[in-house]
Amino acid sequence: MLDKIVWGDIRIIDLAIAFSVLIISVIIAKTLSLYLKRILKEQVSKDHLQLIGKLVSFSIYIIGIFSAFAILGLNLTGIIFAGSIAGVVIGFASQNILGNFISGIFLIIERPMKIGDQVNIDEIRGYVEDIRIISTVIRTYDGLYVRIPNQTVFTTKMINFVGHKVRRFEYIVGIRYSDDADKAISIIKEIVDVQPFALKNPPPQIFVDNLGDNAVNMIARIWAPVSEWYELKMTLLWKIKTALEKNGIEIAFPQRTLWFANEPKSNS
Amino acid sequence: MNVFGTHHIPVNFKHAGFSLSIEKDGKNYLYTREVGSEKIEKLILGKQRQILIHPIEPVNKPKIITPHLLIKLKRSIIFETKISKIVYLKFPIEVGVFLSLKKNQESIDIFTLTNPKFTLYGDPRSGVICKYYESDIYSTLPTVDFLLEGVLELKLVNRNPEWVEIKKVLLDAHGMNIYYNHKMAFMRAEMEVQNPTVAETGFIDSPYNEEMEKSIQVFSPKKIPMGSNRFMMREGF
Repeated sequence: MLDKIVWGDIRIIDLAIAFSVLIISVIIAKTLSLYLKRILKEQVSKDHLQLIGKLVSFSIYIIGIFSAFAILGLNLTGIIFAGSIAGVVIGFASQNILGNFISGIFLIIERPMKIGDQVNIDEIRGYVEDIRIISTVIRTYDGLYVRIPNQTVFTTKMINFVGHKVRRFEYIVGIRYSDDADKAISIIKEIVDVQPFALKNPPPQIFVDNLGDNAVNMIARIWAPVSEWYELKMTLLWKIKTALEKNGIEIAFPQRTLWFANEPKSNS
Repeated sequence: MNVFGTHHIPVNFKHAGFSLSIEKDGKNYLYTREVGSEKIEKLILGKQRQILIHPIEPVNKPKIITPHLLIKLKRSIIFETKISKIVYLKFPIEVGVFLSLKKNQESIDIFTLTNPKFTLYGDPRSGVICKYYESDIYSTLPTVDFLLEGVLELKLVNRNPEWVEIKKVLLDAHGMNIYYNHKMAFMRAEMEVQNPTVAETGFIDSPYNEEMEKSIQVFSPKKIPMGSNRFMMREGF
């Protein structure tokens, strides 16, 4: 019964297997598409998730159709040859687009950033607004819309400012040589300790770094959660400055004392 | 002074370092709260007659950036193998003020009289930001200033074949069950040491005694399979 020939050399069993292959490819395409949408939902916008899902599904459908044709013994050499020629022509014509497309796919797989992250790509700093298949959109800190081709994103240096949980910033505080550096350090420590977002661990470091031309230079290194570090950095330095001054310690500024060799002696 | 609980409007509380009142303001009510130099006022337009003041999960202030609370022990615990012990710690109190509605509660304010501080547990890449608090260890129920600190009853279990040293406890606010009476806020948790670097923590939903009331949960338990509201301390304890 299953060996009964229905057309040319095609038997019922061949038809059944080919049909099963098509069904399986549909199931795989749907499952993979759903899985990709789930794992990429934080990295890629909704529109592009749909596009990626369709691309993946479409590729699996094509593989399924070709496999089904092969099972049925249909000769696809002509189609494959024509497809290859067309592929080469389209490939040459759209080399950059393909490069950006492939880079986009690698960016989605590698996931060096996600939507909302703050990044520096090719000296463009801002928030990641969208990661598309061909390009990445950045909203700079001064509100500009910048579209960067994915090939650039993938091949140039990229800094993700919020890639880790915490971030460190530092101040250099120069006090006068006549001031007590130990006292200054303890004052700065007290100020840092009462800041909620100045982390307990990793601990802050406050120390005399160098004896400068005009000041004893102290460094204060403070860790903060990435979401809070900038606000803390903006407010803390002035608090340190006012606290030091309240305790009689002043921030040094460049001074130069001139001694004249032929200065007249005082008569007194 | 019973601050925690359900109160009929108008209310007026004063305690060292804080005052809270809801009083009639024309046809409406004015909510005023002062903590230190911070003062907030809110106008309440509605027919509510009751407010709830509860101790809540201490991870809301100054703003919510993490659901995790790390309690650093001022003295470490050297803990024998294959035994279970109960110790008491203190945790910081945050106070939630809620309007009592028919079916639910509407939060109108959260404040704390403690100085909040944060820390990182683990490494900068994969670690966890935590609210930070330091506590002594007590073998019996300690006395507390009910607006500043609550009591955590911690059941320690050592499943490691060797003795371990415990220096900190990390808890996830999802699933934190705080109970209160007029004297203190209270919660129960357990910490199970599994090996020299890994311990699992979780909460036990049980009051200190039957007279205690359960607080409103701002961080409701995660709706995921059993055991998921527990926290795995994989970076040491």
